Amino acid sequence: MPNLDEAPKELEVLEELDRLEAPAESEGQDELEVPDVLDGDNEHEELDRLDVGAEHEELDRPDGDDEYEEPNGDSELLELENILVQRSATYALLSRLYQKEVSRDLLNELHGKLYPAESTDKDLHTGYLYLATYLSNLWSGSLSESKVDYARCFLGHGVDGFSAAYPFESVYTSEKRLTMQGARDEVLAIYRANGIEKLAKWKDGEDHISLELEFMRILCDRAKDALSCGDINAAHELHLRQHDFLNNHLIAWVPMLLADMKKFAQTKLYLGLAYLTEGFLRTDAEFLNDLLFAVNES
Amino acid sequence: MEQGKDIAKAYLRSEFCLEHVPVKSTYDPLNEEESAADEIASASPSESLESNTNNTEAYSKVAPNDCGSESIHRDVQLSEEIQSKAATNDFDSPNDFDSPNDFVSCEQRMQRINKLFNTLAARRRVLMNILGFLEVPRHADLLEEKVKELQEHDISVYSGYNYSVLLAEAGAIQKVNEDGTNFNEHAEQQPEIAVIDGVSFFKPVSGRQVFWFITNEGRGYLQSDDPFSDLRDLLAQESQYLSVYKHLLEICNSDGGKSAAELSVLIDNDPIVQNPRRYFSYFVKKLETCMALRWADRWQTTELGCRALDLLFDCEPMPECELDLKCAGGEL
Repeated sequence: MPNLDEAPKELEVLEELDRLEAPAESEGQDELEVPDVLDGDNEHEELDRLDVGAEHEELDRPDGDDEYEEPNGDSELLELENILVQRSATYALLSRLYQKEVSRDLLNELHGKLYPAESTDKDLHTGYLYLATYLSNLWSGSLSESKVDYARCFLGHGVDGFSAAYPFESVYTSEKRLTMQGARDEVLAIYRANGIEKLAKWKDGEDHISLELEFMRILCDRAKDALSCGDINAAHELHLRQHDFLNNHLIAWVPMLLADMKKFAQTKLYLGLAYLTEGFLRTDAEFLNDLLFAVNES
Repeated sequence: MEQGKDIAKAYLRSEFCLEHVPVKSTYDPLNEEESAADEIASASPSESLESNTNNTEAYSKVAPNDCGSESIHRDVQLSEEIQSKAATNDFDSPNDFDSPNDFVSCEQRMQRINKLFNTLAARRRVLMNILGFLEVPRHADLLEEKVKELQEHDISVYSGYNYSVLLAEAGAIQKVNEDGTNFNEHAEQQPEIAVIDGVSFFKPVSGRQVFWFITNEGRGYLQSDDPFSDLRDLLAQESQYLSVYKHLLEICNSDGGKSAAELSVLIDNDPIVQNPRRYFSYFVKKLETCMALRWADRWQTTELGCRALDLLFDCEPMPECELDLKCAGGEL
């Protein structure tokens, strides 16, 4: 398994400007530290995270932090960390599948994995089943077929604004279905408030679904790191941010995108992706609601 | 946070767990180098293919491949027997009308094939070779390799997959199983269920084997193609350039062919091509269309071109019956 810190992350398009510290919300960019670009090189980067019980790094103990508590090895905290790792991996996979066409390596990797068959959520079950079925029918033309379907689904070939499932929040939240509208400005502000910028190689708007999912992944990773350090307050804060972003942005427009995807997609890869995204976002929202509601009650 | 920990436990095996179990697939559908199709291609025809072979022989008797016909048009004209077979749906080959083109009549399929070949006239050589290659069922991977070989010196944006999709849409080829029976697109393989620690998972199985096979209409189009007659017609129409064509075929038949620069020197200064002014590329293009020349890093004379040198450029005109006999024995 490649070392996550050494390999360059080719497919990440969001750059964390300050990875380890909880960013202050209203600070300007001048106060942010020198960018610490995460390096990674290949698609296996995200998929490696799918390993159950993958070891996370032991972070250095911050100096002078009076509230720091020694990790007490509480198994339940570890279970929560496990869940955060798995949520992060799922967000990473979804982000990758929306970002661009699948490659041969990615298909091979996906083919070697297992997918839950006992989901209580109907859409999740359908999504996993479609994905596994697609992977069970691979042939030499599957790569070309999937690329064609990606183009059909997300790029389209019309000029009326309704020829594809355009994966931008602005398209679904603006009156004229244009890109680079108010939604893009909002998410850009949120990214910057969290010390995150897009990489130069990403030429489209920041409200692309791939970036929004990657943003959720980054917040999951930060929450996991905070828990590892024993910083429960920071973890709670990060869960709140995830909850807000999920409900105010992702869930506000992604269902409409997914409805369009189901109309345009012809392979089970992208049909399954639509169902999977729908089910996962719904269950993730429920998880965050329950987690935060329980915390607030306590 | 206590309640949070309880919730965490409940979600431990929740829907968003994508667990990786290092299950190594024994079959890598995308990287497999050898396939069963190699055995099919190299071995003698199995029982399931024998019927196809027999039908091919029967079909060849009615194919409009008549060297004595006055002219061969690009639009294929079905023989009466084929038309009657199409009308009664009476075909012996297993690749009967179970494809997505089922509702399309035989004539419409021929029209589609014609249209495809007219639209992709520049890729005719590749398309015809693909049809010839698929006279027996071939694995999709083999078709990819064949197309790469055909386009080795003739780069194109079209891959084997692209050609197969275009030809399948036109009704010239169709997917079949390894045994030659129709490939059911809707009969998808389902993933297996793997149970780990009491939890069920979908486990993708090995992919499907896809083979391509020529349809009856595709075979009809292939057999109707007569480049030798096309070349003869060309020489008849441009008899004033007979010596130029002969010279071109002769010089490209030696020393592994000639480059464009060399041909320019050898052809462009011929007095015959001064008025009207013609350049070597005009004649090369005509001969290439008739499959008498090919580009393989240099312009080379094909087997058909060599046959044409023997048969079509004699000093005395050969009786047509003798010419027909010689035509029937040759290959492209």
